[in-house]
Amino acid sequence: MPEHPDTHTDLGAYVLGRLSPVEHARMARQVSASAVAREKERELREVVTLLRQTTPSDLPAGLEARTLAAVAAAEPLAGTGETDPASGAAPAADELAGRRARRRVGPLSLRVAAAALAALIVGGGGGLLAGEDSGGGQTTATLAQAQPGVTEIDTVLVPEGKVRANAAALVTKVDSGRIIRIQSKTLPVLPKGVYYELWFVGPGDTPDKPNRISGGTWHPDPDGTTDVTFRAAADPSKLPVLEITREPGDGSPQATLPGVLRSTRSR
Amino acid sequence: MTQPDELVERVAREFLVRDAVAALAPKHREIIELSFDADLADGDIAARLDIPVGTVRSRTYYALSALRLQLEEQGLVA
Repeated sequence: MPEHPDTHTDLGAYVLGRLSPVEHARMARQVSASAVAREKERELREVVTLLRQTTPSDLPAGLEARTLAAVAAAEPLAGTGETDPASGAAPAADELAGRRARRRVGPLSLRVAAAALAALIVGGGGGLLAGEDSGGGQTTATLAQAQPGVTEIDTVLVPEGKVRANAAALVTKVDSGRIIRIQSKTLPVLPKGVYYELWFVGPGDTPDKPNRISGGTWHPDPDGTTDVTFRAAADPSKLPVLEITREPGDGSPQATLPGVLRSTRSR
Repeated sequence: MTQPDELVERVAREFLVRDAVAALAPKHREIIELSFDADLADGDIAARLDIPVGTVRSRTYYALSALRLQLEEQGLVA
Protein backbone atom coordinates (compact mmCIF):
# COMPACT_ATOMS: atom_id res chain seq x y z
CA MET A 1 0.00 0.00 0.00
CA PRO A 2 1.48 3.35 -0.97
CA GLU A 3 2.32 5.87 1.68
CA HIS A 4 -0.32 8.50 2.32
CA PRO A 5 0.55 11.51 0.13
CA ASP A 6 0.57 13.86 3.13
CA THR A 7 2.76 11.67 5.33
CA HIS A 8 5.87 13.71 4.72
CA THR A 9 4.46 17.17 5.15
CA ASP A 10 2.14 16.28 8.04
CA LEU A 11 5.14 15.17 10.09
CA GLY A 12 5.66 18.72 11.35
CA ALA A 13 2.08 18.91 12.62
CA TYR A 14 2.55 15.44 14.08
CA VAL A 15 5.55 16.36 16.22
CA LEU A 16 3.77 19.54 17.28
CA GLY A 17 0.78 17.46 18.42
CA ARG A 18 -1.57 19.26 16.05
CA LEU A 19 -3.11 16.35 14.19
CA SER A 20 -6.57 15.08 15.03
CA PRO A 21 -6.66 11.81 17.01
CA VAL A 22 -7.42 9.86 13.82
CA GLU A 23 -4.68 11.60 11.86
CA HIS A 24 -2.26 11.21 14.75
CA ALA A 25 -2.90 7.48 15.03
CA ARG A 26 -2.46 7.03 11.29
CA MET A 27 0.77 9.02 11.32
CA ALA A 28 2.06 7.08 14.32
CA ARG A 29 1.56 3.82 12.42
CA GLN A 30 3.29 5.18 9.35
CA VAL A 31 6.21 6.53 11.34
CA SER A 32 6.69 3.31 13.23
CA ALA A 33 6.71 1.39 9.96
CA SER A 34 9.41 3.50 8.31
CA ALA A 35 12.99 3.96 9.49
CA VAL A 36 13.29 7.07 7.32
CA ALA A 37 10.18 8.60 8.86
CA ARG A 38 11.39 7.75 12.36
CA GLU A 39 14.69 9.50 11.72
CA LYS A 40 12.90 12.53 10.30
CA GLU A 41 10.59 12.57 13.30
CA ARG A 42 13.60 12.53 15.63
CA GLU A 43 15.19 15.40 13.72
CA LEU A 44 12.07 17.55 13.84
CA ARG A 45 11.47 16.82 17.52
CA GLU A 46 14.96 18.10 18.33
CA VAL A 47 14.16 21.35 16.53
CA VAL A 48 10.80 21.69 18.28
CA THR A 49 12.44 21.07 21.66
CA LEU A 50 14.99 23.81 21.04
CA LEU A 51 12.29 26.22 19.89
CA ARG A 52 10.17 25.53 22.95
CA GLN A 53 13.17 26.18 25.19
CA THR A 54 13.72 29.53 23.48
CA THR A 55 11.55 32.17 25.04
CA PRO A 56 11.48 35.90 24.40
CA SER A 57 14.64 37.19 25.98
CA ASP A 58 14.75 39.45 28.99
CA LEU A 59 18.33 40.29 28.14
CA PRO A 60 19.34 43.60 26.62
CA ALA A 61 19.14 43.45 22.84
CA GLY A 62 22.65 44.79 22.45
CA LEU A 63 24.02 41.77 24.26
CA GLU A 64 22.36 39.40 21.80
CA ALA A 65 23.40 41.39 18.74
CA ARG A 66 26.99 41.66 19.92
CA THR A 67 27.16 37.98 20.79
CA LEU A 68 25.88 37.04 17.34
CA ALA A 69 28.25 39.50 15.73
CA ALA A 70 31.12 37.74 17.48
CA VAL A 71 29.91 34.41 16.12
CA ALA A 72 29.59 35.84 12.61
CA ALA A 73 33.09 37.29 12.82
CA ALA A 74 34.52 33.98 13.98
CA GLU A 75 32.79 31.85 11.36
CA PRO A 76 33.16 32.98 7.78
CA LEU A 77 30.50 30.56 6.54
CA ALA A 78 27.90 32.43 8.52
CA GLY A 79 28.23 35.25 6.05
CA THR A 80 27.31 33.30 2.94
CA GLY A 81 23.86 34.82 2.89
CA GLU A 82 22.19 31.49 2.50
CA THR A 83 18.46 31.49 2.92
CA ASP A 84 15.63 29.29 1.87
CA PRO A 85 13.57 29.93 -1.23
CA ALA A 86 11.31 32.90 -0.64
CA SER A 87 8.46 30.85 -2.04
CA GLY A 88 8.38 28.78 1.12
CA ALA A 89 8.52 25.65 -0.98
CA ALA A 90 10.79 22.74 -0.25
CA PRO A 91 14.47 23.45 -0.83
CA ALA A 92 15.71 21.70 -3.93
CA ALA A 93 17.62 18.48 -3.38
CA ASP A 94 20.82 19.88 -4.86
CA GLU A 95 20.50 22.93 -2.63
CA LEU A 96 20.20 20.73 0.42
CA ALA A 97 23.14 18.66 -0.70
CA GLY A 98 25.19 21.80 -1.18
CA ARG A 99 24.28 23.05 2.26
CA ARG A 100 25.16 19.76 3.86
CA ALA A 101 28.52 19.82 2.11
CA ARG A 102 29.21 23.29 3.51
CA ARG A 103 28.01 22.48 6.99
CA ARG A 104 30.34 23.19 9.83
CA VAL A 105 31.35 20.35 12.06
CA GLY A 106 30.88 20.49 15.80
CA PRO A 107 29.33 23.03 18.14
CA LEU A 108 31.80 25.78 17.28
CA SER A 109 29.08 28.40 17.13
CA LEU A 110 27.84 27.62 20.61
CA ARG A 111 31.35 27.70 22.04
CA VAL A 112 32.08 31.02 20.36
CA ALA A 113 28.72 32.45 21.39
CA ALA A 114 29.13 31.34 24.99
CA ALA A 115 32.66 32.74 25.15
CA ALA A 116 31.58 36.03 23.57
CA LEU A 117 28.61 36.31 25.86
CA ALA A 118 30.72 35.61 28.92
CA ALA A 119 33.23 38.24 27.82
CA LEU A 120 30.46 40.78 27.17
CA ILE A 121 28.95 40.14 30.57
CA VAL A 122 32.27 40.71 32.27
CA GLY A 123 33.18 43.62 30.01
CA GLY A 124 29.77 45.19 30.42
CA GLY A 125 30.22 45.52 34.14
CA GLY A 126 28.77 42.20 35.25
CA GLY A 127 25.41 41.89 36.84
CA LEU A 128 23.96 39.12 34.69
CA LEU A 129 25.29 36.35 36.82
CA ALA A 130 25.49 38.31 40.03
CA GLY A 131 21.80 39.16 39.79
CA GLU A 132 20.80 35.84 38.29
CA ASP A 133 18.13 33.67 39.76
CA SER A 134 17.85 30.02 38.83
CA GLY A 135 15.39 30.86 36.08
CA GLY A 136 17.71 33.30 34.39
CA GLY A 137 15.28 36.18 34.47
CA GLN A 138 16.95 39.15 36.11
CA THR A 139 19.68 40.80 34.13
CA THR A 140 21.59 43.99 33.89
CA ALA A 141 20.63 46.05 30.86
CA THR A 142 24.08 47.11 29.79
CA LEU A 143 22.90 49.24 26.89
CA ALA A 144 20.13 50.83 28.88
CA GLN A 145 22.52 51.61 31.72
CA ALA A 146 24.68 53.60 29.34
CA GLN A 147 21.78 55.60 27.92
CA PRO A 148 19.67 58.03 29.92
CA GLY A 149 15.89 58.11 29.96
CA VAL A 150 13.07 55.60 30.13
CA THR A 151 13.43 52.61 27.82
CA GLU A 152 10.58 52.42 25.30
CA ILE A 153 12.03 50.02 22.74
CA ASP A 154 14.84 47.51 23.31
CA THR A 155 14.91 45.12 20.42
CA VAL A 156 16.86 43.31 17.74
CA LEU A 157 16.23 44.12 14.10
CA VAL A 158 16.35 41.03 11.90
CA PRO A 159 16.56 40.57 8.12
CA GLU A 160 13.62 41.34 5.86
CA GLY A 161 15.29 39.65 2.92
CA LYS A 162 18.45 37.74 2.19
CA VAL A 163 20.88 40.07 3.94
CA ARG A 164 22.69 38.27 6.74
CA ALA A 165 22.79 40.94 9.40
CA ASN A 166 21.13 42.12 12.55
CA ALA A 167 21.19 45.21 14.70
CA ALA A 168 20.33 46.19 18.23
CA ALA A 169 18.14 49.21 18.83
CA LEU A 170 17.40 51.04 22.02
CA VAL A 171 14.90 53.88 22.18
CA THR A 172 14.66 55.88 25.39
CA LYS A 173 12.39 58.79 26.25
CA VAL A 174 13.99 61.89 27.70
CA ASP A 175 12.56 65.32 28.40
CA SER A 176 13.52 66.62 24.97
CA GLY A 177 12.22 63.68 22.93
CA ARG A 178 13.67 60.26 22.12
CA ILE A 179 17.22 59.05 21.95
CA ILE A 180 17.78 56.16 19.56
CA ARG A 181 20.93 54.06 19.57
CA ILE A 182 21.61 51.56 16.79
CA GLN A 183 24.44 49.03 17.05
CA SER A 184 25.51 46.41 14.51
CA LYS A 185 28.65 44.73 13.31
CA THR A 186 26.97 42.89 10.48
CA LEU A 187 25.29 45.55 8.34
CA PRO A 188 27.18 45.56 5.04
CA VAL A 189 29.18 48.64 4.15
CA LEU A 190 27.31 50.54 1.44
CA PRO A 191 28.61 52.05 -1.78
CA LYS A 192 29.06 55.79 -2.01
CA GLY A 193 25.77 57.62 -2.41
CA VAL A 194 23.70 55.00 -0.59
CA TYR A 195 23.03 55.08 3.13
CA TYR A 196 21.04 53.32 5.81
CA GLU A 197 17.96 55.03 7.18
CA LEU A 198 16.12 54.19 10.40
CA TRP A 199 12.34 54.48 10.37
CA PHE A 200 9.65 54.42 13.02
CA VAL A 201 6.81 52.57 11.29
CA GLY A 202 3.15 52.58 12.25
CA PRO A 203 0.12 50.45 11.37
CA GLY A 204 -1.04 50.36 7.76
CA ASP A 205 2.23 51.67 6.37
CA THR A 206 2.47 51.11 2.60
CA PRO A 207 4.56 52.73 -0.14
CA ASP A 208 1.43 54.54 -1.36
CA LYS A 209 0.27 55.59 2.09
CA PRO A 210 3.37 55.79 4.27
CA ASN A 211 2.92 55.90 8.02
CA ARG A 212 6.50 56.31 9.12
CA ILE A 213 8.95 58.88 10.40
CA SER A 214 12.66 58.87 9.74
CA GLY A 215 14.88 58.50 12.77
CA GLY A 216 18.16 59.25 11.02
CA THR A 217 20.61 58.13 8.37
CA TRP A 218 24.16 56.83 8.51
CA HIS A 219 27.00 54.93 6.92
CA PRO A 220 28.69 52.10 8.83
CA ASP A 221 32.35 52.62 9.61
CA PRO A 222 34.73 51.18 6.99
CA ASP A 223 35.21 48.09 9.18
CA GLY A 224 31.44 47.45 9.12
CA THR A 225 30.69 48.76 12.58
CA THR A 226 27.50 50.72 13.20
CA ASP A 227 27.14 52.52 16.51
CA VAL A 228 25.06 55.62 16.02
CA THR A 229 22.84 57.74 18.24
CA PHE A 230 20.00 59.92 16.98
CA ARG A 231 17.40 62.18 18.48
CA ALA A 232 13.86 62.08 17.09
CA ALA A 233 10.36 63.20 17.91
CA ALA A 234 8.72 59.91 16.90
CA ASP A 235 6.35 58.34 19.41
CA PRO A 236 6.87 54.55 19.65
CA SER A 237 3.34 54.10 21.02
CA LYS A 238 2.05 55.24 17.61
CA LEU A 239 4.94 54.03 15.45
CA PRO A 240 6.07 50.89 17.28
CA VAL A 241 8.07 49.12 14.58
CA LEU A 242 11.65 50.00 13.72
CA GLU A 243 12.87 49.42 10.19
CA ILE A 244 16.18 50.02 8.48
CA THR A 245 16.23 50.62 4.73
CA ARG A 246 18.93 51.29 2.19
CA GLU A 247 18.27 54.64 0.57
CA PRO A 248 19.84 56.43 -2.36
CA GLY A 249 21.06 59.93 -1.67
CA ASP A 250 18.37 61.49 -3.86
CA GLY A 251 16.97 63.89 -1.30
CA SER A 252 13.62 62.07 -1.09
CA PRO A 253 12.12 62.20 2.42
CA GLN A 254 10.28 58.91 1.80
CA ALA A 255 11.46 55.31 1.91
CA THR A 256 12.16 54.28 -1.64
CA LEU A 257 13.58 50.77 -1.22
CA PRO A 258 12.42 47.66 0.69
CA GLY A 259 13.49 47.28 4.28
CA VAL A 260 16.76 45.60 5.15
CA LEU A 261 16.10 44.93 8.84
CA ARG A 262 12.94 45.13 10.92
CA SER A 263 12.38 44.97 14.64
CA THR A 264 11.08 41.81 16.22
CA ARG A 265 10.33 41.50 19.86
CA SER A 266 10.39 44.52 22.04
CA ARG A 267 10.12 45.04 25.73
CA MET B 1 20.74 26.13 41.03
CA THR B 2 21.95 26.95 37.56
CA GLN B 3 25.74 27.10 37.33
CA PRO B 4 27.15 30.23 35.67
CA ASP B 5 28.70 28.29 32.77
CA GLU B 6 25.46 26.44 32.18
CA LEU B 7 23.53 29.67 32.25
CA VAL B 8 25.83 31.38 29.77
CA GLU B 9 25.64 28.38 27.45
CA ARG B 10 21.86 28.26 27.70
CA VAL B 11 21.51 31.94 26.91
CA ALA B 12 24.02 31.65 24.05
CA ARG B 13 22.05 28.71 22.68
CA GLU B 14 18.87 30.78 22.77
CA PHE B 15 20.60 33.58 20.90
CA LEU B 16 21.74 31.15 18.22
CA VAL B 17 18.29 29.56 17.86
CA ARG B 18 16.70 32.99 17.44
CA ASP B 19 19.39 33.91 14.95
CA ALA B 20 18.69 30.70 13.00
CA VAL B 21 14.98 31.52 12.91
CA ALA B 22 15.77 35.05 11.75
CA ALA B 23 17.83 33.64 8.89
CA LEU B 24 14.94 31.59 7.50
CA ALA B 25 13.01 32.61 4.41
CA PRO B 26 10.25 35.05 5.37
CA LYS B 27 7.44 32.53 4.89
CA HIS B 28 9.26 29.94 6.97
CA ARG B 29 10.11 32.44 9.67
CA GLU B 30 6.51 33.62 9.74
CA ILE B 31 5.14 30.13 10.29
CA ILE B 32 7.65 29.44 13.07
CA GLU B 33 6.86 32.70 14.83
CA LEU B 34 3.11 32.16 14.57
CA SER B 35 3.50 28.60 15.84
CA PHE B 36 5.89 29.18 18.73
CA ASP B 37 5.84 32.86 19.67
CA ALA B 38 2.14 33.47 19.06
CA ASP B 39 1.32 29.83 19.91
CA LEU B 40 -1.42 29.66 17.29
CA ALA B 41 -3.06 26.43 16.09
CA ASP B 42 -3.00 25.39 12.43
CA GLY B 43 -6.52 26.70 11.85
CA ASP B 44 -5.73 30.07 13.37
CA ILE B 45 -2.56 30.36 11.31
CA ALA B 46 -4.48 29.39 8.17
CA ALA B 47 -7.04 32.10 8.86
CA ARG B 48 -4.36 34.66 9.67
CA LEU B 49 -2.43 33.96 6.47
CA ASP B 50 -5.48 33.16 4.32
CA ILE B 51 -4.08 29.83 3.23
CA PRO B 52 -5.41 26.25 3.57
CA VAL B 53 -4.60 24.24 6.68
CA GLY B 54 -2.78 21.76 4.46
CA THR B 55 -0.48 24.55 3.33
CA VAL B 56 0.12 25.55 6.94
CA ARG B 57 1.17 21.99 7.70
CA SER B 58 3.42 21.59 4.70
CA ARG B 59 4.97 24.99 5.31
CA THR B 60 5.51 24.04 8.95
CA TYR B 61 7.27 20.87 7.87
CA TYR B 62 9.54 22.70 5.45
CA ALA B 63 10.17 25.49 7.95
CA LEU B 64 11.22 23.02 10.65
CA SER B 65 13.38 21.15 8.14
CA ALA B 66 15.05 24.36 6.98
CA LEU B 67 15.59 25.40 10.58
CA ARG B 68 17.08 22.00 11.30
CA LEU B 69 19.72 22.69 8.64
CA GLN B 70 20.47 26.07 10.16
CA LEU B 71 20.82 24.52 13.61
CA GLU B 72 23.06 21.77 12.24
CA GLU B 73 25.25 24.47 10.73
CA GLN B 74 25.40 26.12 14.14
CA GLY B 75 26.31 22.76 15.68
CA LEU B 76 23.28 22.89 17.95
CA VAL B 77 21.93 19.58 16.70
CA ALA B 78 23.78 16.67 15.17
